[in-house]
Amino acid sequence: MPFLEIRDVSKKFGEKTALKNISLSVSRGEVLAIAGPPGSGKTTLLKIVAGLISPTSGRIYLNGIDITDVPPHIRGFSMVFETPPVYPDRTGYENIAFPLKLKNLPEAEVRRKVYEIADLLGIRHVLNRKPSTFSGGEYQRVALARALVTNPAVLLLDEPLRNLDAKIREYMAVWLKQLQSKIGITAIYSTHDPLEALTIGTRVAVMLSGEVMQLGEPLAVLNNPVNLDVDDYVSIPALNIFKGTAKAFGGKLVINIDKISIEKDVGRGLQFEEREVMATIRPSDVSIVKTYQPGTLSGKTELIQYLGANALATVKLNYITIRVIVPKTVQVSEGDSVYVVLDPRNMRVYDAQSKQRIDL
Amino acid sequence: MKRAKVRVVNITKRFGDLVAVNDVSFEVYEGEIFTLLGPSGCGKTTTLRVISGLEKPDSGKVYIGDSDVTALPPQLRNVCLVFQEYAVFPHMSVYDNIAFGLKVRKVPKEELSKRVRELAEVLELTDRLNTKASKLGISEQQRIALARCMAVEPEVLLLDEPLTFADAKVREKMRRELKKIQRELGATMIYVTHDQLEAMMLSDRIAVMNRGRLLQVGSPIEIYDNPQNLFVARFIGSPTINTIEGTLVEERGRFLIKRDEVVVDVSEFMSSYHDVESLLGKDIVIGIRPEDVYLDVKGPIEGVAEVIEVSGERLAIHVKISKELVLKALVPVHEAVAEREKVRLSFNLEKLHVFDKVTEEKVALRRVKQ
Amino acid sequence: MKSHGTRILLSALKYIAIGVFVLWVLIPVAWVISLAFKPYAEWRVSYFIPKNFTWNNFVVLFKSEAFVGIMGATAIVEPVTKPLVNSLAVTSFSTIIAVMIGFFTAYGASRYNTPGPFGLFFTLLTRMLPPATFVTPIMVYYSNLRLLDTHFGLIMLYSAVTVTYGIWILKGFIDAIPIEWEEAAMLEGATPIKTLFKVVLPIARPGLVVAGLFIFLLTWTELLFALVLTNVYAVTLPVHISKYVGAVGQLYGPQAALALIGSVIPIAIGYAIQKHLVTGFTFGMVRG
Repeated sequence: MPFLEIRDVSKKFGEKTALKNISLSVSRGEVLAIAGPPGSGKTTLLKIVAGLISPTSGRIYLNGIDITDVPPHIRGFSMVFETPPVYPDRTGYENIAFPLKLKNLPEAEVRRKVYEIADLLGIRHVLNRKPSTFSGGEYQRVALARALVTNPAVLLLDEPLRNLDAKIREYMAVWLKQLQSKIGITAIYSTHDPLEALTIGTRVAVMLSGEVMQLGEPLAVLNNPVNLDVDDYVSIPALNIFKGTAKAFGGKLVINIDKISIEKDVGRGLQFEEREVMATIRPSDVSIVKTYQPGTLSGKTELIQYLGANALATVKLNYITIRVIVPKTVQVSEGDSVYVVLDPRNMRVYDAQSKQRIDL
Repeated sequence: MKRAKVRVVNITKRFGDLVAVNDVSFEVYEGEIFTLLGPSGCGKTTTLRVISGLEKPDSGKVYIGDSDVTALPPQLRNVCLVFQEYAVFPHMSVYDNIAFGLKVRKVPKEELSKRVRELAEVLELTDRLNTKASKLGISEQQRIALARCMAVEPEVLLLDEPLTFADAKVREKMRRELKKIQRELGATMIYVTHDQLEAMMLSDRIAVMNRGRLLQVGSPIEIYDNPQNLFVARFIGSPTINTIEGTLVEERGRFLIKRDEVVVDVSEFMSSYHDVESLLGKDIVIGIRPEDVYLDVKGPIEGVAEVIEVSGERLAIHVKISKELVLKALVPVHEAVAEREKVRLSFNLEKLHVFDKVTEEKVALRRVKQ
Repeated sequence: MKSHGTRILLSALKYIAIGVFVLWVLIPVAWVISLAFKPYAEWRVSYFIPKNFTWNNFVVLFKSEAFVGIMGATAIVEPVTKPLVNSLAVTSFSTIIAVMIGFFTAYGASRYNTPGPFGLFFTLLTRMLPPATFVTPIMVYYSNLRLLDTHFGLIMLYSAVTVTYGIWILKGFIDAIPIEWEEAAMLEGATPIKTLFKVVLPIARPGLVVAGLFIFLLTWTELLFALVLTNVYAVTLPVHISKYVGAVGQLYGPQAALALIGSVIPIAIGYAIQKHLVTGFTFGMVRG
């Protein structure tokens, strides 16, 4: 039996459907990451789990008990919001102690618990300070301490790193993951950033326009997206998507993109007539060489953008533009003539209408 | 497109006791994208505002083209600033937004219409000219803001974190668009951001700032490959560079970095340099980028995979070596290991960076000629 | 480009204009201060510094004094003590009531959208008509309810006509508090009422202070209602001040002295609470 179960939850705001038949379960000690672009319904779902919003239909179970109608202050969940609940008129200590004081715990116990959690999160030095003196990272950690101090059954994190500087965000994501493996809390973590979700989640649910498109372990989602939208969403830098046609016969899949024809080996069972498709390939799965080799496509680099260990090149082929990850060992500059190597094995093919994968 | 170089000479700006910008000098070449990069509060925005004329420096000079503009108010400097937010007037159409600056300057109607349409063409807004700005997405709004700025033909475009409020996916796309537009127009652009990846992807040259000081100026590759101090090394690059603090010792002809129970053999690296002896016994910090650390079954260092961080198209494996030391190795997705798995690591010793622990400056070593 | 000389001239003109305006504002205040320390003989002369400096104008305020004016007309003016206490009591109570009701209404308006945008606008109605138009019906109404010349009657009226400011000022402050801050408290076990008192109320304190000060000042200086609705027992300071202008002619000296006393109190209150006037909603996450 799953620890927390979201069963068939839908939510409508007036005419607008925010969530459509969401079913997810979380086991004890697991972090379920919900990844989706802004407006995909992540916050609504988290608020439904917290009890702040009631679903239009569907139920929420905790340990098999239906808690859908239990008011939020009895559920015993905690939530960290994008605008973290750290009250500006109180010190760090008072903020963290706030939920304990609501429960009328004795002062000594409140003190002990606040210091314990502050030490765990490394924020003892901000306990006597007002939030206006906190740095972004401290702010988030105080919010987290406050959420954790009550020892909640489930911790809900709604884009907790959204407002932080890029460098601190990167650090905090790893820090959160380490913290989680130390304390083993059950959590649902929402983020718009697919990489953050893949890093933090034990499992990842990709949510697009109110629906869970794919649920699985991080690398499974990254490597085997079920449809075009998921593929497009999880790929950073942006996915190369080409419109074309394809047909499959005798263990071969022939993809035609403008004047380019690519053959991919597939199972003998796969067979279909020529149809409109979307073919995709990640920039990291394409490479370029500087001298002509058979099977390469000639083009011209339009743009070079450095990433650090490597660079992202935008290459103009005859009719299409393709983005390529280039290792630093290959030296190219803008305006160079280059040859693009497309490995058909790395291409994924989706039906143009249904967007479902068809090359498997 | 008019364009000019910009020169900032010994700028200092204080707010009360706080020295926001401390003796900063640099030069921005004609037609390049120059980025001021640093963490919150490093003085990058203040520097940009000094260039724009919105702030007056306490000392120092600003030159645009060849003329000293330090005493000029913003409207006479021929620069344009795109802000983090409120960059467009939501109640106006795209056309009126772009035309705004021209109307203020009483440009004749014919010329105004022509210029707006030209810019809309470049920024791919032509079919949106009659739409209300509030109906468009962030990416389009930023393009409108840019077009509005460019309409008045500034010699320098200043951009203050214009992508802050966009989400990760949109930002990545916008960086590409922005750079393409700049290439097409050949404008001089000064860009401010706290996001090192944004700076790397967008810029021709980057100036890294911290606590009001300018630490290093260079192309993205220079800054990444050859950081002049520890701050720059740590700030640039994602995942962050690995650092090992310790003392350099020589034992039985091998150079070792020792700290508590961790011993890293750096003989291969050190032997290609002169004057290594001068470092012996000194506290140093070794930096090595995660892509120069490999998972290697025969590697000399053993640890436990702790966190698998998905970083772009690769994975950063955080390997716990000792209580104090975690090293990251950047590996392709297909080389993934499980969490809590024991792994061994080796380094590309060619790529070590050596910093003085106290001054945090790079230690200059002379390479042995081969 | 303007020449150096032109620029100096322009900036000189700017300062002269500012100086004229400052004088324009300060002269009446200076006159009041000057008058308060002048003896009777100097009230109608045009110099600022009193020739014979006197405290008498203040002293008479606290006595029951008969003033004999032109042509033998006599006016008896009560000591200022009672109106002063009345004003303090009436203003304080009505301010507290207006701010509290304003706070709860503003909270409802901000979070639950009651009474709706039109309803909220409607609360301004009490301020849309000149008070003179409805002071007569209120007098009739109060006379039937036996509320004329009572503290209670004044407090009720003042809090009713100022509560709309409380609502509008506080709504702005409450709108700026992220709803997530309340939701977090609810998850942590706070009931909605507890959330209101333990989270929203303390965070909105700068707003309460601003609204309170604003309403206090309005009420403190209100003359028309008090003039019509009070007579002996509940007379307020502004009414009392007006009594020095009467059949005996204008008693400028004591009037000015009383005006000074009357303005010292709000200034003192304003000074005491100024540190609460600094709003505190910033996140402490400064970019740049």
